[in-house]
Amino acid sequence: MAPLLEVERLGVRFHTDGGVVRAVDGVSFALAHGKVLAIVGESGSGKSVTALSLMGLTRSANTELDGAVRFDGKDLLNAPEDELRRVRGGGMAMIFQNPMTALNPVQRVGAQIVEQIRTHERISRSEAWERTVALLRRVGIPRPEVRARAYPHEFSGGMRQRVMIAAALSCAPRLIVADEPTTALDVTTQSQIMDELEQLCRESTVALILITHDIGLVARMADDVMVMYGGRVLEHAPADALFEDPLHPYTWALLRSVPRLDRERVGRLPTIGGSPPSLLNPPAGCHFRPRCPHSFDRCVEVPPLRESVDPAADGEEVRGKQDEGHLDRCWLDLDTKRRLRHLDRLDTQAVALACTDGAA
Amino acid sequence: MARFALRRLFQAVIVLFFVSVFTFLIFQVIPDGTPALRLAGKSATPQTIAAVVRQWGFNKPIWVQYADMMGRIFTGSVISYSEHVNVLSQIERGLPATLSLAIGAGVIWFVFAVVVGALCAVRAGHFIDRLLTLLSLTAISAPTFVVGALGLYFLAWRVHVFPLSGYVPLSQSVGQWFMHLVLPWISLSVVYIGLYSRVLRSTMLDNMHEDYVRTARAKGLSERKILIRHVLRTSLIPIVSMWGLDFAGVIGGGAILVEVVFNLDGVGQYAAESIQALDVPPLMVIVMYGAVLVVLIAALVDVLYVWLDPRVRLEA
Repeated sequence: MAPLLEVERLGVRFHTDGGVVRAVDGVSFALAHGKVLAIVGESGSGKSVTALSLMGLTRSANTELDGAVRFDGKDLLNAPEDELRRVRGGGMAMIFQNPMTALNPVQRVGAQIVEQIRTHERISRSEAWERTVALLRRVGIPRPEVRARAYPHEFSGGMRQRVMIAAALSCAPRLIVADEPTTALDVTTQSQIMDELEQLCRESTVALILITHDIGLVARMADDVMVMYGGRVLEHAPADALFEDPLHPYTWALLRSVPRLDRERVGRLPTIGGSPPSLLNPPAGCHFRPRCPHSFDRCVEVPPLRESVDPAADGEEVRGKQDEGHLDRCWLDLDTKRRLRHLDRLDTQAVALACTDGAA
Repeated sequence: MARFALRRLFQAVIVLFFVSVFTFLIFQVIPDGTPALRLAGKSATPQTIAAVVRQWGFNKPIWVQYADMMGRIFTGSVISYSEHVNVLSQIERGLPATLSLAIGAGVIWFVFAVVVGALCAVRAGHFIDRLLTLLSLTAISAPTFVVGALGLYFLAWRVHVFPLSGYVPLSQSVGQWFMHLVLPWISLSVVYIGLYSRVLRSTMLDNMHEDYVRTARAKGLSERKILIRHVLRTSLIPIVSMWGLDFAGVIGGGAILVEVVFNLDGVGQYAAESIQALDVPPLMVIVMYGAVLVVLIAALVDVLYVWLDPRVRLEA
């Protein structure tokens, strides 16, 4: 079966007063029906821009898009606006980061969902209203028939995000793109919301792209993980493989900076030294090079995103023991990576465990 | 709601008190403000003047005079100095013209400002935006009497599109009423159209970048619906509050110039004539009536505001 979503060498360039910003540079991935893909990375890594570009929300006079985004076999990147509108909120729905500002403050929440339903389906206002109430009940909003008539400011942050989720589900999407859906919420609400989102996705076999910097969340929900940095994908692997055998030095750094409850920490929580690259004037070669403790002369060339190779096997490039479909963008060979990782004392098993435990 | 109304009523009383005291005092201190001399007529004997002073109570302490005046205002028996007629009936006579002018202009400037402002915001940076911006700035800088005079000269004097001046009651002829008011409406509205459309344009441009607009787009709404239901709807909030104050201001005195230029014989014109004659009683009443309207309309706008922006509560 063809994948639900295929992204091929997606590139997003913003023309700004300061010059051209390559916010997304050659991002490719595929997502099957009902699967969860997590995109992780620091702020400014291009993960949100990638997500927004999937449904053409970055389109503007100052934006240059290239590559292809195929949803259900249809290219969306070059689709005319009215074709795109049918997909937005219909087959592909989006949940935004900040539920405090993502809802229109002067419209009743029910009306905002009804508006979406009636944009995509020719049904009466009262039918749409009934469905809205049912949706709000499904996402765990108490007394939905009353609350549907309330305004966003009468809801807490968590409840507003539930409203957003209900809106996203309203037209039976096949893909939900959730852009840091819990970042703006407090910790207890975060896990409730994610529990519900996870359950809803499983119930309805809708695929999910989860953009986050919460590694625990990734460990818990994702089938696949894509690590982004400076607009490029640095590592792309099935979630288990990524946690057990992370291959890119940036991924190690990310995993090391996850707070751990299961062991005593000496000193400060490790952070990644330096700051993310300016995409207006990015470093040559690998974008992580200036911050990477293992960089060497070859890193001034851009490494390809590929399965790591092990040159040990007699000049003939053969795959090491890594999992199928585990891609990373680093010049180091597989063996060296594993040795360096060991020297870095990154206890990958424990990280993976801590992540899943922490989230549970 | 009851608390809100009560509070507003209390505010109104305070406003009216201060407005009346200040108006009264101003006419006590301006030079040649002695009304007895003018009331007694030309070449009056000292005895006549003394009689007038006694008759009108000008010899009483000033606060007693003020109290007398206020008493007469509340019983509706204020008599003007210059024509010895009941002020209230004069105001009643002028009210239809003033209200026709103010309400018509208020509607016109609101509607046109929304159209112009929205058009500028949608086409920001394009030719039409620049053209309308230029026109708006011109409108803002043009005084009402200049626009009125130009309109009169070109559209009533040189080309007889509109009548030169005067007011025809609505009950007499709708067409004539309309034709007589077109130029006054335009001259009164032009400044506000310019001002409001500028404010609306920038509010809309700000709101276009709000998260909920992106949400609306992600829901699959057409650009037109996004613009009207999400961007324009929220951007109207500041415009409405401005409109409330300005509309009250126009009714409470801002229409004077236009009424005089077009000889509409409304309340404003009556006020202007009374000022020239230093005729205190009509001015007191007109100022009070203006203040009452300002307070009343401000309260109405607050109610409207709650409807527009549910985050606002009627409490104060």
